[in-house]
Parts: sequence; C-alpha cells; structure tokens
Amino acid sequence: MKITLYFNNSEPNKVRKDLTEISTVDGTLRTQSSVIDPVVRIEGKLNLSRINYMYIDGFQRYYFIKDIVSLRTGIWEISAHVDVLSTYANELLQLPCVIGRNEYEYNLFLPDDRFIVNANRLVQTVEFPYKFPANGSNYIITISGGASNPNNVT
Amino acid sequence: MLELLNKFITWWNLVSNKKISFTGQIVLISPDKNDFSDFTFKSYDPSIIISEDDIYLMKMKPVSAPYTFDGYGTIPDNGYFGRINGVKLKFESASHILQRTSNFYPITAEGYGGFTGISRSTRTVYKRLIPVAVIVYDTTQYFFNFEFLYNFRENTFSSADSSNTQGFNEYFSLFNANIRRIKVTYGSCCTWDPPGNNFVIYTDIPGKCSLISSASQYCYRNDFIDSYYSYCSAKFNVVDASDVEKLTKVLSGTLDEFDSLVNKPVEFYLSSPGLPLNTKRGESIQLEFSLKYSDGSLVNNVPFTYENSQPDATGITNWIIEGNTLTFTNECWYAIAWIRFHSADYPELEYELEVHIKDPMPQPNLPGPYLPEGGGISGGGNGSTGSNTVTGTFDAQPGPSIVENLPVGSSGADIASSGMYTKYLCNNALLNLLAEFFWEDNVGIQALKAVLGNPIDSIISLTAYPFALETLVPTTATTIYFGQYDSHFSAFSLTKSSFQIDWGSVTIPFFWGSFLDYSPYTKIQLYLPWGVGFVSIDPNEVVPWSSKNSYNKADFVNGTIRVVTNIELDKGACVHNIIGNNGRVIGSFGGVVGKQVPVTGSDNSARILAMMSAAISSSSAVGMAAGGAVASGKNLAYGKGMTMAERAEGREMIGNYKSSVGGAIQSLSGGIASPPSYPRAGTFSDATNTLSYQYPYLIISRPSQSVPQQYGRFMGYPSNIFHAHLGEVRGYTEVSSIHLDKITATANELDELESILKGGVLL
Repeated sequence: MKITLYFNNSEPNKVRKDLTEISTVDGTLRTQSSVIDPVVRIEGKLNLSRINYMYIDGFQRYYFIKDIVSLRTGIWEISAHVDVLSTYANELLQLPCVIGRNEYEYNLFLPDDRFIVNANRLVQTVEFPYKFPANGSNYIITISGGASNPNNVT
Repeated sequence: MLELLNKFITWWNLVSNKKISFTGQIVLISPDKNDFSDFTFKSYDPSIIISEDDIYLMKMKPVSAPYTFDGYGTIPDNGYFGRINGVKLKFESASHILQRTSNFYPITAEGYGGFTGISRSTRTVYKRLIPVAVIVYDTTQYFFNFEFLYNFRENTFSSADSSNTQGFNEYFSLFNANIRRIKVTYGSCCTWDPPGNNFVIYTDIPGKCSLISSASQYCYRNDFIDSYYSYCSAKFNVVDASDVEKLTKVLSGTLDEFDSLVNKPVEFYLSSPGLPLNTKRGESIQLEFSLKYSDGSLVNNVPFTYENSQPDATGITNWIIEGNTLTFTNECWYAIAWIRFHSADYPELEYELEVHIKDPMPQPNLPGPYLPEGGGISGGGNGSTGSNTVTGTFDAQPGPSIVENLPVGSSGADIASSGMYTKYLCNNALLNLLAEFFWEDNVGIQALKAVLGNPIDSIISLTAYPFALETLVPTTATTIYFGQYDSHFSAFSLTKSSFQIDWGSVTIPFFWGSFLDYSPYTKIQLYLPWGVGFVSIDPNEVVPWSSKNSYNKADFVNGTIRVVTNIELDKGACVHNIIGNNGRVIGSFGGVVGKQVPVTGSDNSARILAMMSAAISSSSAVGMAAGGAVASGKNLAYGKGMTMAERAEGREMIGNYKSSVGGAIQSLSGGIASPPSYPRAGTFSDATNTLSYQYPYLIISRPSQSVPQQYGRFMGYPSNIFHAHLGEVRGYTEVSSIHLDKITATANELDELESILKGGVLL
C-alpha cells in the first residue's frame, strides 16, 4: 500500500485541491484501520512541516491529516479524515443538481436571507409634477335660479 | 500616447536627422535572474515570433561602477543583446501569474511597465517589481522614453555611495551610447536601511512626471497618455465614482519601514473634499500613495515605498492625528479623497495618499436612486414545472382606468347648472359686490325681498377651494340671477360640475436592482391632500415590472405611479385615484377639497355640530370628512367611515407585512424584515383639510444594504438554477438539491458529502 503525502494549499471545501507532493511511503497494513478515519504509522525520515494531506491508494481515498504524533524516533502516527470532495470529485461533478447559491450565476430577485442591511433606511420624498394655480377665483357660489329660468325678470 | 510618440519622433528627426525605426532590444533587469527562468516573451501579434535569443535577462550586482552584469542566454561581451522588431511584447510564464502594474503594455516599443509575479503553484506574491526594467532601444537609431522603477528589497542595488546613480548612468552610457539621458536617483530623503533601496529612473523628456510609489498588483494610470514616461506604478488621482477604470493600489512597503517613518514626527491625516464616492455593492475604496512637494510639484524620486498588508487599512486609522476620521467597517469604506503624510524632517515633502474606487470583481452594477440602472443577473429559475406546467397566459393587460369624463348623469347631461340653481365662479371682489348688494337698501334688493322674503336664502352654498378654478373648470359668461331676478352682476357660470386634476406621474426605476426594491423591503407611502393623509402603496404595483415572468432585468420597464383626482363642485368632494404600473388603478381614496363657507348663522351652527360628531365617531381614523360632506372611498389603512373591524383589518394588512408574506420575513436575518408602520397623520375635518399640505407626494423608504467586499465569493447569491453537471458550475457554490447516486461511497461519506455541498464548496 502506498501513501502519498502532500501539502494541500487549497481550502478544505475546494473540490479540486492544489496539492504539492512531499513524499511517498510504501508499506502494508498491519493493524485494523478505518477507511474513513484511518490512523497509520509511518516509519522514516519525514519533513512534516508541510504535510497536511495524503492519499492512500489501497483505500483509494484522499485524506485531511488531522494529527501527527511522534511515537518515537522515526515513527510517526498520522490520524486522518477522508476528504470526500476530492475522493469522489469525478463522479460528483457529473451529477445533476440544483444550485442554491452561486458566486457567478444568480437571480437577484430571489430574496437573500443572508443580506445585511443597515439600521438607517434610505428615505426619499418625491413630489408629483403638477402644481395647481393658487390665486384667482377660489369660490363657487350656488344660487337659486339661473339664466335658463323661463320666468326670469331682468 | 501614439500621437505624442509621433511628436517625439518628429522632434528627434529634427534633432538627429535620423530615421527612427522600431527596432530594439529588450533588457530585463532583475535582482535575481531565476525569477524569470520560465518566462517567455511573445508578441501581441501572434505572427511575430520572439526567440529567446532576443531576450536577455540581466542581474544587477551591487558592485562599484562600472557595473557588470550576469545574465543567461547568449550575452556578448559588451553586454549588448538580441533584437526585436519593435513589436508589442508580453510576458507569459507557466509558473507566474503576471499582473500589469500600469495600463501600459508590459513591453511595447513605446513604453513599458513592470509587474509583479504571483507563483501559480505557491501563490507567493512577489512584492517587488519583476522585472523592474525593460529597455527597448535601437542600436542604430535610438530613442528612449522609458521610465521605470527599481524596487530591490533585497538590497541588491545598494551602496553607501550616492554616486551610484551616476554609476548606473554610466552603465547606460557605456553600453548604450545611443540611449539618451537616463537619470537615476534614489532615495536620500529618508533614512533607509539599506539606503538606496528604491529609486527611479526616468528620462528628462519634458512631460508629466509621475511619482513612483510602490509595487502593487494593480496600477491605475490616470492622465498618462500624454506622457512619455512609462511607470511601473503611477500616481493616482482621485477617481470619480463614475470612473470605469477602477483599480486598486494598496500601500506597499513593509510595516517596519512605515513604522520607521512614523517614529519620525509625522502628521498623518485624512480629509475628504466631499466627492460623492458612494460605496456600491462590490466596491471598496482603498488607499494609495504618492509623493509630492508641499507646493504641489511632484517629486521625481521616491525615497521610499512601503507596504500595508492590511487591506482594510485599519493600521492607517491609528495614525490619524488630525482631519476627518475615517472609520472602516468590514470592507465598506467611506469616501475619502486623500491622506496627507508629512515628515517633519523634510517639511517640503508631503506624501499624499489618494483614494480610488476599486471594483474588485464582477458585481451587479446597481444604480443609485433614480439613476439609470444597470446590473446583471443571469440564470435563476430556469426550470419548468414538469407535468404541472401552467398553460395559462400572464395577463399583462391594464385593468380599469380612471374615469375621464365627469360626471355621467342618468341622461349623460351635466348638472352644473339648471333652471333650479346655477353655480358661479366667484372671487373676493365679486363676493364683496354681492355683500354690498345684500346689505344695501336698493331697488333690486327690495324687489328680491318682496319675492324671496330673505334674499340671502337664495344662496344655496358658498364653497372655497385652494386653487383658482377659472383655469380648471369650463365656464360660460353670464350674469348672476337670484331666483328669476337678474342682478346684472357679471360672472361666469360653470358648465360642468366636476373636473379632474392630473398630478402627473413619478417614474420609479430600479434602485438596488434586486429583491430589495420590492415589498416588503421597500415601503412606499403616498400623501394625498384634502382630508386623506398618508396611504400605503404596495411597492410591487409601482416599481419596475415585466409583462412576462422574467428574472432578466432587460425585460423590465420602470415603474410609475400617477395620481388623478376627480373633484365635484357641488359639495367639494374629491376622489383620488392612484394609477400604478401599466395604467392600472390600484386605489381610490375620498376626500373633501371644498370648504363650505357659512353664509348665515344657522348654517354655521349646523356645520359645527357635524364636525364635532364626525371627530368623536372616528377618533383613530385619518382624514375624516365632516359636515355632511361626501365620505366616499375606503382607506384600508386608516379608514374614513369604516367600522372598527375594517380599520383593524387595514392596519393589519399594511402595518404588518409578516402576515402578507406568509411568515417569510421570519427567516430573514439582519433586520431586513419590514419595519413597522408609524402613523403619519391625525384627524382631518373640512375646516382643516386645506390647512395641510395641498399636493400629493411620495415617501419611499428603502433598506440600506451593507454588502461586504467579495460577498459572492464568500457567500454566493441566491441562484435556484439547475445544472446537468455540477462540473459546469464555477466559484463558490451551495447546492440546494442533489442526488448522490452512482458514487461508490459509504453511507457516512455520502452524508458528509451532501452536507458539504449544501454548506458551500469551491468549484
């Protein structure tokens, strides 16, 4: 079984990781080990300063290294957790899906419950354009009778 | 630029009488040649191939003059180089991401700029300018109009001897006799360790001199098109908010270097000339640095540069001693124009930090208020509903519109005047005449008394209006009749008993260009005069709309709101009609515009009683009509003539958006939820209707969004898009729904996978 040790320069939630290979070790699995959370012991001289990621070909999985413990000189115990994104990236990227949020494709008319607004609101006052003439004949007087009365007296 | 280059060429032709041709060579000067080990150079014209033999990298050594250089490739003993044909060149590197530091091309026959490199693999950013110099010159015919900055932080070009400048000059003189004067200066204004860490090389060709500030990933070139100087980095002027060339420039230089300056007695403050540099979504304002003398002239040599690794410049605020204080919150910076830095040791020098607006990444170009809106959305809601697809059509037809011809009686005839009564326009002068007539003992009034008893009883009503009616109501010239008696007073009788005031339309374009423009986030209240007061308007009826079910703002037209008031002149009642988008009447509210003027004592007593009873019965309402006037229409929010139950319903509808949106507000955070409504008016009566503001107006209340820089990168925007393959998606992504089939993973792994996808991944 081959274990390839990497330096992962990418975010944990990035699907395709930016990896720099540090070293590769060969060996056999001597004790029981979880495939999801393996604990492996590696013997040898390792430059551990940049190792934070690994691939175990026997498990066909990528792992985040959670902890490295020095058992004694030259013996290291590495605890890891599976990186499901990288491990299953090829199959994952072929799947159809509905995107809920995205950096580049979006619909701004969908309410965004993560939006933050300031306490101060933006208040505008807008008048309508028409202004009536104010000065002139401002009264209407209604008077009995009128010009059309056939009994008018002049 | 080309024009001025041509001018230079013309001048040179006059001086040298030589033909200028665009041939030359390229020299890259770097402190470390290995920086360019994988650099290649290509022409912008793909048909022109530049061989490596044409390009020479040279490393400058801190040796005393004359300088010698190491390089790689074939370097003749004399240090001369290969040839190019004066074509535009560009750097490409497999291991470096090259970002221009000026708006000039990295290498051109006319000018050049430097750039910083970012390793693709390690993402290490080269803080220095790499390469720092490019010279293109013609070995036979020469012209040289370059300026470039060296910024060797590794002290590869240092010397205690300030005559290094001369040595450098001599180098160019030695190896490039055809090159015109190259003046090199370097810092002596401040104490730098090592000294001479940064300097400027420029020609003395007249033109605009710019300051060389510091290395940066971006540069903004302002107004250099007339300059012969090409700069690796450049002085920036304040950029107007509308300037589309937005770049950033961070303060560069190590913090230690800056601290050493701060330890000198310095003044450091911010001021703002009041430019409307409003931060918009996706924008940030960052600071940059330049150098000039106190008289405003630019310093041709930059004694130092420095870096500020804090993108939000919080460190700078700590150094503000006087002037306006700038408070940075998140990365939404407030507008400032410049920062002035003053060194007491060199009082003639002022270091100016100038501010530019940066648009760091593609963001929706959102409008300000009532500005042409831009913006872009894409995708979103692109699925169908399968077998339940709605087959009906979206009815975009306008609904009932306002009544244009008023009024319509049973026979269609107006009832403005008849033999029973006549309405006359009246002004103060005519009223005075009538008063004289009534209270004067004359033949006319005696005749009236004989027939009518009390002639003043022939006056049915006298109504005052806040506007001049002669321009609003059609009339005909006549004389005033009291009963059947002609008073011979000239007057104008109304031919119509009602008329219409069209207050006009207000166009409401997008403001935010997003869901924030709609209910319940935006609130609109409309003030209606003459006893109505404030009514709430559903923003969705008057903001931009589309005649089809679309999320594409190109399909939207601006919203409009229009108010048309129908007024009847019998009792002075009115109905305000509110017309929203597509000419649809979305509301009608009744009021009273005419104020009844009591003519007799008994008349006045009756009115007072009516007013009092109206006030008592509707104490919580707004804009009550009184005195027997028409109380038509219902204002659902603050009802006139409504039952208490109806008023409660109206308050619930308009004052509480939670009920209208089915609890969706509850899931919104950060205070987006609609704020409560506050009453804006009390009780009106016909005595007070015309004492309030006489014209309608809108109060539009919008949320003020607070969007951090790179919001999309860290949180994404709502999407709701289907993709046949997740691999088609880019950037920060949260998956809302996915079926993890055909993945050979354990159940726990599948659960974790789904959780991560829904929590957000980078694709």
